[in-house]
Amino acid sequence: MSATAERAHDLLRRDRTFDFSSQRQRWLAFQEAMRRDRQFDFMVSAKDLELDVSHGQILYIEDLNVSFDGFKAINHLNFYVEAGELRCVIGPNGAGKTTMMDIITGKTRPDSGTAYFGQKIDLLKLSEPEIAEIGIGRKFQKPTVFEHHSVFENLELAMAGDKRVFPTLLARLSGKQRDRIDEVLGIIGLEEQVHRDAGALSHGQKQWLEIGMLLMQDPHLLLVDEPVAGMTHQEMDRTAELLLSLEGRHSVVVVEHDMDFVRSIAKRVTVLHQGSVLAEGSMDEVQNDPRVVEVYLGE
Amino acid sequence: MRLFQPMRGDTGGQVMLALLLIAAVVVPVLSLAVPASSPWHLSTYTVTLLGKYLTYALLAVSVDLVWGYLGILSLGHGAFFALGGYAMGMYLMRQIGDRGVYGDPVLPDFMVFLNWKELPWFWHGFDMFWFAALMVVLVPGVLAFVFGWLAFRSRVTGVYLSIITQALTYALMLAFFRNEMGFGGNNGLTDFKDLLGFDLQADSTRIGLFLASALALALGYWACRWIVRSRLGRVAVAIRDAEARTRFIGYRVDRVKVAIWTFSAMLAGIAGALYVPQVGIINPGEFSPLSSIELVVWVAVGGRATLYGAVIGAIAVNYGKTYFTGAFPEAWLFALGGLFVLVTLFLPQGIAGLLRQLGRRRARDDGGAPRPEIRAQEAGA
Repeated sequence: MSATAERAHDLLRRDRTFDFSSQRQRWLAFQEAMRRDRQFDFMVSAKDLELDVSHGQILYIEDLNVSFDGFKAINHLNFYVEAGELRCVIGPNGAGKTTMMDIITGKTRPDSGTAYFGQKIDLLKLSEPEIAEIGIGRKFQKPTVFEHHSVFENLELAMAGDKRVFPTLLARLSGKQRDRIDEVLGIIGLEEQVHRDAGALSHGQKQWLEIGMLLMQDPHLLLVDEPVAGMTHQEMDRTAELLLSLEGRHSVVVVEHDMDFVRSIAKRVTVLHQGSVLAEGSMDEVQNDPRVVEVYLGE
Repeated sequence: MRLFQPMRGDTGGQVMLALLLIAAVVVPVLSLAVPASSPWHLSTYTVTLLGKYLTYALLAVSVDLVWGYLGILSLGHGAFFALGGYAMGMYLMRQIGDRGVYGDPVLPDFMVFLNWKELPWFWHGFDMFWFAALMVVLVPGVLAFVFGWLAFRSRVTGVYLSIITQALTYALMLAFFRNEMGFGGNNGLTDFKDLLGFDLQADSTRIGLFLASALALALGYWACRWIVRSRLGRVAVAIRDAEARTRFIGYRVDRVKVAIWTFSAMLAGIAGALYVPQVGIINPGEFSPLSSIELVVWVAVGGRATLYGAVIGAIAVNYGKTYFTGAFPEAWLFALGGLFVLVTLFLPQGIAGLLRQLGRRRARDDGGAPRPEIRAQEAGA
């Protein structure tokens, strides 16, 4: 504990008796309590937390453990993601892929271990909306878009910004915001459908729209859960292009079962098995790893 | 023009407001300038009836705002309407002064009858119109705010919320039936004499009330359109369609709901306040769950999530009610029930949906491609 923290802790102790005997002592006590140069952890709101990726890593997960009713879903997991990287996570059913996503987004609390976003932000201390606010976006398996809104309106609603009631009532799109929507429309390739109701889109288009809605929130890290489930081959190719185009600007973690798809986008692949990392490396390395072959093909 | 901005892309609403404007000119002329012997003459009875329909229409618009656009099926909106009506009724009671049957200068007749010696605290201030007018929006507003804050924060939705709203209006009905509440018990408030110094029985006052109702409907409609076309309106629809998703992208769903719900209750209160001087009575029957359900039927018949559909529904169903209760008094409830079943089965979009379909078909028959629906955008503001 640093000296400042110790002093703060001391100040907040309930059993402490202040020496209020003289005017001078009272003044000193007051000054101590009101010092401006000190910040208590619990006073910092999630918005003010700044992402620090000076060491090149955006996500640090170390020695993580979770068990559900005795079943170890995550078992001494260590997992790192670099800033701007596109990472694929594969693994058989029950390997802990979704549980890991749940922990990163605050949905599940681990039994032990650490999860840091950049150097400084402790994800395990934040709530789900706070984690969304600091820039971790997640796309769920089943696409949910607002069916009765147009593609444009879907993106507009998802846009980062002041979302309180009255600012929303009076909100007008600025030119910059409109440009951002156009840009995202270009990335997800839905320019022609911009005024179509989202409910009228195909399954693949809905998935892209949802990725677009994530992008509108300007996330640093995107977690994408099974993006190509139920897609045609052409749609898969488009999705691969889309995810590859995000590389560099956003860090992306993709969980996917479809091996062909993973091969088409992956530079680095992490294989999870029984709640911990079995292998990590390029697709070829991973595929030739005898342990991976064993897990996937059985003996 | 900024003023017309909210009405853009709302053909039904434009037609409705135009008709309202025509009625606001024609009705006074037919009633006051045309001699009573002419077949074109409108009797005071008809003018009052039309005025009453307009207040119902405003009430229906307020229900459509929360049901059609926010997905909250309120089965208790009659409570806000009745509270607004009671606030106005209290003002009208105080205006009677010593002209009551018992001639007490301060106490309304029913209090004298109950042997009360002084005015209950909550009756103070209602001798002033501005105070009563404030209470017309404030009382329903505060009740809706507290109710909404409790219900929406606890994420009560769907049929459970509908049942609670129904319980709310039922509880208020039972409370207002009690003489001890100080609102006239089951007789309610009646025997009004004048409003702002105008004799309520005079034809000109009736016309004035009709015009005030038309104005309130137009302004209320405009305000609802303004909300619906704002980004908040789009958030509301998003909440209606996928509440969890809306929360997930960062909107405080409970606050959006409380805000729109409270606004809707205030509109309902205004409608109630305009209704009472026209019908000349307010009693706890207005709180009855049945009337709140009837009100939902108006909106369903007119067509949800269109706003102008609510106006059509309120006027059409109430005209039907007036006709039926005159011609076949026993048959009305059967007709209402049958109407609801028919609309649910064959016209899920209500009359407004039917009109839209006809419009589209005509556009196709003309050979022109159906006009693409122009989305409400914030562009060109």
